[in-house]
Amino acid sequence: MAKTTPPRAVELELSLFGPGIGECLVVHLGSGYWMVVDSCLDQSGDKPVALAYLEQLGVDVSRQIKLVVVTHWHDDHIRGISQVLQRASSARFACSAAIQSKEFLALVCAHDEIKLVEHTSGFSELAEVLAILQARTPGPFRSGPDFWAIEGQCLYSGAPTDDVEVHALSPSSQTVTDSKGGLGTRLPLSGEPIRRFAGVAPHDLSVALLVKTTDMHLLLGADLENGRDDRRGWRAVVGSAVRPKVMSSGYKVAHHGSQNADLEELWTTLVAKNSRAVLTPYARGRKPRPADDDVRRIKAKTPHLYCTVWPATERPPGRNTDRTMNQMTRFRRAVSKRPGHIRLRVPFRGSLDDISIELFDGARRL
Amino acid sequence: MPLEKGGLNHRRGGPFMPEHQLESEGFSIVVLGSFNPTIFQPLWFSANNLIPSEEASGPDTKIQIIHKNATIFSTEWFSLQVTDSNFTLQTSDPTKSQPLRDLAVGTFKVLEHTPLTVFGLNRYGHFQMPSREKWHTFGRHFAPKASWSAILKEPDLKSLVIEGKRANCAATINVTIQPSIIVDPGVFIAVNEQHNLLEPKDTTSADCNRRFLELLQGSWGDFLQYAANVYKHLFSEYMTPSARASRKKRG
Amino acid sequence: MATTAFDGQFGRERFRDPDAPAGGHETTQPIEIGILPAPSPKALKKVQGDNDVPSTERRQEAIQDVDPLIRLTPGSPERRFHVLQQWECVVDGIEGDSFTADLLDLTDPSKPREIVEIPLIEISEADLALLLPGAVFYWILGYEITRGGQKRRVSEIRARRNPKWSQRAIDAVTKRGEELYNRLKGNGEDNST
Repeated sequence: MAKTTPPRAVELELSLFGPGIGECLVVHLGSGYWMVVDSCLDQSGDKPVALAYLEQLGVDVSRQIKLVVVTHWHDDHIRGISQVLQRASSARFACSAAIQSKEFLALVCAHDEIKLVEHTSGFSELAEVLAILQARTPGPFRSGPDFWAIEGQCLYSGAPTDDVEVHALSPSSQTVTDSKGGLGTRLPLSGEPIRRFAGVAPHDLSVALLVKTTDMHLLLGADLENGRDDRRGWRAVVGSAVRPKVMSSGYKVAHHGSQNADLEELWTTLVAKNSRAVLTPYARGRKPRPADDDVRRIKAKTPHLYCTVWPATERPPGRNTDRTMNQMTRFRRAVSKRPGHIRLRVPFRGSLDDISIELFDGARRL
Repeated sequence: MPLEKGGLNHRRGGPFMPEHQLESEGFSIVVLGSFNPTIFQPLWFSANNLIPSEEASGPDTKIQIIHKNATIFSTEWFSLQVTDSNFTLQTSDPTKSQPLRDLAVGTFKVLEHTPLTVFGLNRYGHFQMPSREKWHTFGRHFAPKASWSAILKEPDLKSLVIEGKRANCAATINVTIQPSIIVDPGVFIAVNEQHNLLEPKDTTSADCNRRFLELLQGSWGDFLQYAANVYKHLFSEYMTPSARASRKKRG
Repeated sequence: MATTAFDGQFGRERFRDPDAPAGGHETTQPIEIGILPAPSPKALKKVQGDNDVPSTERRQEAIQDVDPLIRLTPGSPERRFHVLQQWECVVDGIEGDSFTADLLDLTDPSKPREIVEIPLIEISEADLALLLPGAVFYWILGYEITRGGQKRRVSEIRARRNPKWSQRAIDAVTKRGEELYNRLKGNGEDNST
């Protein structure tokens, strides 16, 4: 099928994009309405891949994107999300309730100071998002996200036209309470050099989502980790009394396939046997994800595993300084600028056998 | 070979046509405003984390004067001169184009209430010409002798400054061409990009300062690239067949 | 009367007119200000009045009234360096005796970014304290031509130096964070009147 062929009105689509750092999910919710989760840029480096793809399909993004969700808040993982939200003027916006704290919001406010010396703060995108939301609510009214996502919350319903719902499965109530005590990223101290914020806060705070239709469902795992007890992380999701009790046929694997985000019970209570599992790699750090043992472990659960870019990194292009650089480094890896694309489609009223998987731009079955 | 944003790629002559070798280059940032020169001592910069303390007190750091009217000092890689109205930061180290920008940004981030009015970005280079004949040809192309020979004997280009604008930029550009005094036969080319901070007219000092920081952050890389393109254009311009024909016609 | 001439070819004027008001120069090309061994006749007249014979005391006053124009003898030392490659490196993590970083290609931004691991020994002592997640370093590779004309391959890694957070700025950011928190609505809040 051509990449530019849109899904049918009663067809569920999950398009996963990922270049090696950052990812974006574009989900068709029926009747031409869409959800965008997180963001990365297309190969040009200028345009969010979600907008580029939807425009290719002929979607009117100002009218047809109904929900934008941010599961991360570091710039590297949501590049271009502010552009998406700006264009998606009809969309509601959701992010983790765990960031609704004065301390975290102070970090976001620090963006204005940091960007003067660093041109980016690490929270530039989130600062822009909040500014957009504020502009949408002029006057004395309070502004901000439409949803502070928390377990058990319904973020979207297609009723009565479509039997489609989007539910937040996390963060758990306990995690939100924990976050009030600090997120692991603190405000700088007086006398510390101004620098951009690095990395992300604990992954327990991620927003995992369930897209539920008549028969076919998708589990979008974000970066949610297992959790240290049954009130946090995947442990809390599995044991949750408020989540819809359905088994998903499509699963966006959490946290790039890391073992600390791969609970055994997830595969028995949330994900159907022989489901289609899709993931993006993470090229940073000493060990890119998914590692070989991650792939083996997941393939033992389902033989249908797909990755947007594989291998996760590539050989650096030749430069006339290679000899010196290779002498000075322990390893060098290049990250593709082009986000690979996995597209999963299945009718709302369908079965596993009806699922189609298409691979574009370097995406591969593992 | 693509022209890069920061330093220059140098094979023989690099990207500026094989014959024209860049022998020396430098960068400077000039800010006009209202300053207290006595503040700008090496130790002030290290105390504010803008240079290492070893650099501030190191043997390569030379203070010429610290006075209420002027401060001048130089370190291993940059020189600074400040009067009550002019702040000039300069380096002749091609590896320091980004640190120079950072130093200017950091300085005025600390001094965020300093009134600023105008700032200029500068990049210059001394180029070795392949022959004296081509050196003369270059000068004659941009300042034709025929235009002067009726009123001057042996007219020679001493300095040429052209002002203009460039696309998508509100700044004023000045391009200077002179015979080089350090390379013979050589050409000196300097590109200046001047930004006005005082518009709109009722902008406060703090607003001007923030605008300066945003502009400097945003335009430094583009400016370096533009200046490199200016060099390339000038060297290719005087060598085109039409340019040769035009010079021949002028005699 | 001093004349204006170019010297040093950094767009500099050798002498500034000492009678010009201080700070009157509007150019943002680098200028060099020059020293005069004695005040100009015009400046002297300001304190002498019509008396043709300046006293030492008055002369001293006259000097104080004139800007001490200082000649800038050579600025930063020139360095002959042929840059081959420039990177902007953002520190990702530090573990043991090395750190990992993201490299953004400043020489050719169209090329992909790289992830590298660099031993700490490659970082100068002065910059080690700045090696923290999120910190930025520059890595420049190329050839240096020494004064003697020798060519040598050089690799330099240098920390970006940013100013420090002040308590005032931190307090301002904390206050804005609180204001933002108060301004943000909770779940399901209806803004309609």
